[in-house]
Amino acid sequence: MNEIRKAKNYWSPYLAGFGLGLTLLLSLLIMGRGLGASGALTRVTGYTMNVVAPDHTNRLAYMRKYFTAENDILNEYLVFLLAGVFVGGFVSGAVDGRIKTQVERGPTATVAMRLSLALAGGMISGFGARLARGCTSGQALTGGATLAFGSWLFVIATFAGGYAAAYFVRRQWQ
Amino acid sequence: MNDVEITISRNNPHIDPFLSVWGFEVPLDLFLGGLTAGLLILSSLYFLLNKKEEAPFTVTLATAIAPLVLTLGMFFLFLDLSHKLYFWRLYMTLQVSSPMSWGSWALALIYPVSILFAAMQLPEVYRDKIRNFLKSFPYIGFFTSFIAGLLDRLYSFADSKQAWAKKLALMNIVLGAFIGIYTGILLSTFIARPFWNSPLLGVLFLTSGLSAAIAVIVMATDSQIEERHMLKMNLGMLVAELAILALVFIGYMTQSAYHNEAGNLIFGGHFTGYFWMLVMLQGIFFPMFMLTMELKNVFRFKILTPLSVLIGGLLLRFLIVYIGQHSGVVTGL
Repeated sequence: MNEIRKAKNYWSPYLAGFGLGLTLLLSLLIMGRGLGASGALTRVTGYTMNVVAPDHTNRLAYMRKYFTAENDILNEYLVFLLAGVFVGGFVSGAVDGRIKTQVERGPTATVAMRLSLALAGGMISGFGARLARGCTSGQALTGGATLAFGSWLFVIATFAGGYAAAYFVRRQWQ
Repeated sequence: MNDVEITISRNNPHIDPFLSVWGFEVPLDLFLGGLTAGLLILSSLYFLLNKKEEAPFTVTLATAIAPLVLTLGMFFLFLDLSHKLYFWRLYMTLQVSSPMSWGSWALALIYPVSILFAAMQLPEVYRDKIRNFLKSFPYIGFFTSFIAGLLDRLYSFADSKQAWAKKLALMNIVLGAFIGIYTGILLSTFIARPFWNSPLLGVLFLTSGLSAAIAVIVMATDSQIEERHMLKMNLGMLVAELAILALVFIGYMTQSAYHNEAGNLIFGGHFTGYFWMLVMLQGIFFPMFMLTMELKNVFRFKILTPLSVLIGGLLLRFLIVYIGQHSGVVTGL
């Protein structure tokens, strides 16, 4: 019986970053627009909201603009991009033997605490991403690549905010 | 009169601007029908080729699953009917020019043939398991024991008719191939929806059904030899599916102008993203990748790899049924 290859190390972050930059360039060349994940998540949220509470969704001006007569809310580049991210991540993990059911957390953190903090942090960052009209992929990567001033402000603010918040949850990772 | 005006000026609800009569029930039934076809064909073929040692699950148990899967598919088909209480009328006639009529009779014929063949192949250990399971029910024990008794009589009848096994296997293959192909013919004879109107749709659905059946066998078998063999077959089936789809696309480009328009729905039209992401990427290329990695021993996912094949087959049916309803023979709609 052949042996399954052992888990391999991650790529060098510089190489991976260069690859991500190339991906962004190809996206701009082929699709005419850059990358972005929060837009996709907004659409998935809007779709789910419409399934569960269509009247409420229709009353929200923010969500209503995604429901046009010409196109379905999910039939958009960013949604497929996000789906592709999951597939690509899985492929990378599977080929290098990194697929494992786990909750990544610090040595002293409990699973419950980690998941609660992740949920809370996700809610805050999702709200912030929509407030800033983009997340790290849309604002920092794509906007930064086009040298948009607002995007660079976003990058600085993200790091500053991250450092500030990390102080309060540092015990979770020690 | 309102009715006449609506009919002659083409404003028929559920027909215009696009057909919207089929929901999830029909694609689900098509998928389960294809799966049944694949199970029947594979189990009978491997039986006829005397491959019981190399493919134990395929020969002994796959054929027993087929009628159960078929029943589930027919249940969904039944859900789709508008006049549910009149379904029995399908069996009061045979309309020669109707694929649905032919299909109904073939589906009915599959039950006795496949159940008898399955009873012949079922090993004693599984017969005991089923018997004990049926007898273990607390409140409806009298009823389930009655079923167990019927099954025992079926087993003894099947054992006495082992000489029929080869003929039944051949009938299984013919019926399975018919079911697999007719699900595609059902759609492809619908000339008013050019997206479906390809002669290759029947073959595509049969190949997809065989692929799905192989995936089920891979998930369920304990034999490593059978698993490896079936993984290779699955890869071959997906390559065949890819080739058939390529020919279908060529058909869209080279048949009538309506076929062109229908093809354009997935070549830059409204459904481009859905079709290429869900059917091609998730349905064909991702399972091909998973199978290739399994065969090269890069990883081993007992459930995930065949599950990706099954989901792919399901997506193929769903998208083809859904997109087809949006194609038409009146331009500008």
